[in-house]
Amino acid sequence: MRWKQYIWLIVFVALGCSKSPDAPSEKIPDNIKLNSTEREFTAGDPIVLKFKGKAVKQLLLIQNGWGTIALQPDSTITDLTFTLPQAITQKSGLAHWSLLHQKTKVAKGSINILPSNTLSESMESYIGPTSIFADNQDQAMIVSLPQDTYGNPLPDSTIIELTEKFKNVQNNTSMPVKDMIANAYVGGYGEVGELFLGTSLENQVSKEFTLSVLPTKADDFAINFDRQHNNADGNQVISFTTSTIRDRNDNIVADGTMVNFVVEDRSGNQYQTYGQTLNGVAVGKMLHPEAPTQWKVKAHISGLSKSNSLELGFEAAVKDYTVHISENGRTITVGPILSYMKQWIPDGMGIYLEIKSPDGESLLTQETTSRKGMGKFELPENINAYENTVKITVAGIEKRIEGTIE
Amino acid sequence: MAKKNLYRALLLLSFLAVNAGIIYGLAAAWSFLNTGADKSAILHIGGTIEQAYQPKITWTIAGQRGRKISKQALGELEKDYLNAWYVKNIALNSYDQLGIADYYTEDARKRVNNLVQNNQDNHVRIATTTLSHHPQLEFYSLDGKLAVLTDHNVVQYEKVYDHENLVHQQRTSNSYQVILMLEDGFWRIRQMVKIPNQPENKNQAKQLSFDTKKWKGINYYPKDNPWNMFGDTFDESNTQKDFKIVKTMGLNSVRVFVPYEVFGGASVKEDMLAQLEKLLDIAQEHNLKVLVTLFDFYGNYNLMDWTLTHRHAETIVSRLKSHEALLGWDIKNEPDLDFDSRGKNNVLGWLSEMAEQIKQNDSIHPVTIGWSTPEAAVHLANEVDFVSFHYYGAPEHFKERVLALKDSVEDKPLVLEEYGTSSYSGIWNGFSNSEDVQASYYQKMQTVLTKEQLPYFIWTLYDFETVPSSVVGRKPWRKAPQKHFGLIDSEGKEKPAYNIIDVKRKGTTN
Repeated sequence: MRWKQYIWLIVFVALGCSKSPDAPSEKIPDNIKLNSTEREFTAGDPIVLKFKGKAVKQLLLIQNGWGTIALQPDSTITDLTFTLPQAITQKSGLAHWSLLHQKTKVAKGSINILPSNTLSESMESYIGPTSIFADNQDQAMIVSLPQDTYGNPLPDSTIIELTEKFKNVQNNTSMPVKDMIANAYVGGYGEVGELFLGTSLENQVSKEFTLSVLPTKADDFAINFDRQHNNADGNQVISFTTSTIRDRNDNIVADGTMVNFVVEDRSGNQYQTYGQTLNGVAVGKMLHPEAPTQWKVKAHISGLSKSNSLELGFEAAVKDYTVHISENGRTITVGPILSYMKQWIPDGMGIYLEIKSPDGESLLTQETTSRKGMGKFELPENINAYENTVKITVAGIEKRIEGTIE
Repeated sequence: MAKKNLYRALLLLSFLAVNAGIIYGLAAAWSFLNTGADKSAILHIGGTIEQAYQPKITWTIAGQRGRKISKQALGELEKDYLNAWYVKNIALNSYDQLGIADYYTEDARKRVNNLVQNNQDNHVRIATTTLSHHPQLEFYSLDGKLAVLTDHNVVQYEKVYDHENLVHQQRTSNSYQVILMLEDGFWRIRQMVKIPNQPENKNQAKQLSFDTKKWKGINYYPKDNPWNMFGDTFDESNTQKDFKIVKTMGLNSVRVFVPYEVFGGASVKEDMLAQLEKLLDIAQEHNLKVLVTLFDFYGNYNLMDWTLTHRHAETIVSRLKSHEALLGWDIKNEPDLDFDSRGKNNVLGWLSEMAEQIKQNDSIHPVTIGWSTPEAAVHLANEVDFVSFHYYGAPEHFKERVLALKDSVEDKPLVLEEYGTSSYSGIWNGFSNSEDVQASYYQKMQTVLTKEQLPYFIWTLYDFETVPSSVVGRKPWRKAPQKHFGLIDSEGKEKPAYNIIDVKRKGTTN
């Protein structure tokens, strides 16, 4: 009798090892239909899809704008219902669903969820660019993304109110929503100022935006000069002042606009100085020359506009001076150098020395500056002032002392 | 004394062992200190992401509002928009939300996370990819920082897993309206709403005209470089010579294979494509037609890989579709062999979509799949234009197995796409075969084929001296027979079977 038990054992083991069939033999109900008739919902409202039939182990797939989720029936004892989660009910737009039963699609359909009537508190808006030129044509754009309280975009043709205020003039216009956004061009002013902007829909409001209307390219301007005296003393500062620089629409150019002053002297050397505008006026400064000369001054804003050309002359500040050579021929004293009022010239006047050999070869050049109207040169050992030609230049006045040839 | 020597030896050995231990320890420490992040990783140079996801995208710019978009800006918008889809696909598939922050604004990010969380709580996983996009640019803001587009009829493929069981796969077509914003140099999705599809004006499927009845072909690999005929080893003069032989045998078609990786995957290499085109040119010179088998040695089928294979097929198919010598497209060789390792559903899903993709690019040439047996060929029979199968069984059973297939595929034409037998005789098969046995195999097969009017492709022209391990594995008892399926042996001598096939000489030698 014992072998019978073994046989049973083997049979059971064999059955246990065999593959279970792919699908449990539950009959698919072929008349599963959506019982709920509603196809259109409002975001935030609870949505329950009721099907005719018993809940077994169905799975409901729902695909909305963000992606797909799958749900089990609410309960297996009652009717076949699915309560959709907030991820679905709060999202506007189409949502397709399909009901799966044992890996087979038994029903499908779609629902449409409209944005909620409760609006979000703030109106998401963007403005760009944040500054424009006052040239009567430059524009910026404001874009608003009106939303309901769940962050859903509002339908096309919803009217958004746009409020603009410029120089005490307030304008209200409307911009309709199209493709989830409402947008409008703003600007086109010829006057400099600040444009204040805001959008609203009922009590959904944006923050206040400010758009700077900036002056455009500067127009040509005039310059003038101001100096204490006209002597080329290399000490005083001359200043060049522009007229109030304006753009073509008469707006004062933006503060900080760089103005470049170019000075050309009689011998064609050029000097530059810069000034930045404040209230449209830029000032450039320059030291007086050390020698009498004639200046031609012109200012420009790089690549945009230029000024008139200004001519001014400088007279010699120094009338005359003496040069003394020490006995040993090694020390040269220049001065006293007297200025236009017969006083010592201000300290710092350049004194230039050049020593040339009798056959015209330059042996030494030195320079120093005046102090108390005087200047002094010490010559190196191998050079004797008496054996060579000494040339001194102060304020454009040149003196030559010919050495004696032994 | 002996004991003393023993101690000495032990001492010496232990000294050596200790030294070896120390050196090994130092080496291990040294190599440990040299591992870790690559220094170049500091630079954060990404860029592999766009190569992993390449759905077809077709823009419509006409009628856009706002500032006119430049080509450069549109390119950047497209890249980030597709990346947004890609990171969301990953999030839905693996709950990994790493990329979401880069491609969704803060608000949108929250909502995507909600959805993914919902699935994670329910143990639901969605493997998904998009196959084609048709975005229409609606609006581009004046400062270039906000864009609205409507992406019409986005073809999406989804596999739904419930507790890791595949419960459903679906191919859907949906339209979305999307707001994108340029933040921190990324275009990020701000809003995405599903909208009804526009009615698609589907191109009426053209009636294909092809007649399989007359096809008499051979599977072609050159003698010296089988399974490796493109690239450096491509030899025009050999192909010329071989196709001449094929033509003199009275055959009219050849079947060739396009290896997926060798051809460059998603970005097909131009020189490879040029070689394939050249091969078709040569076939044209000899008045032969070519059945091109794509995706040789491909075996991924993963949803994440789909768009890459689609770009591969698109490039090859659109380049060759107007070639005179093209007979048709065989999507893949013996895909049923991957059923076990890759999952039958995965393989069939990929094949079915690929058939669709090829037809979109070439509406003239027939599409088929090279199943490994007549029984496997019932799969997707409705989606191919003719049913192809291979047969390496006994000639006696051939007829009944083909008739069984014929019954189940109804009016689809059948093509015997591979058949043949090895003349190998050696220790691995007990010296049981011979070239004469091969000849008599062909004799029997040709009789049935003629009677049933079944088009055929012989395996193969030559015996091969080497067979790569990637074809039949390393085992010598599998490799050896594989070398002797030719009608011509590796020295270039015609085997008896050659004369069976050679229609012009038939009768004179028999």
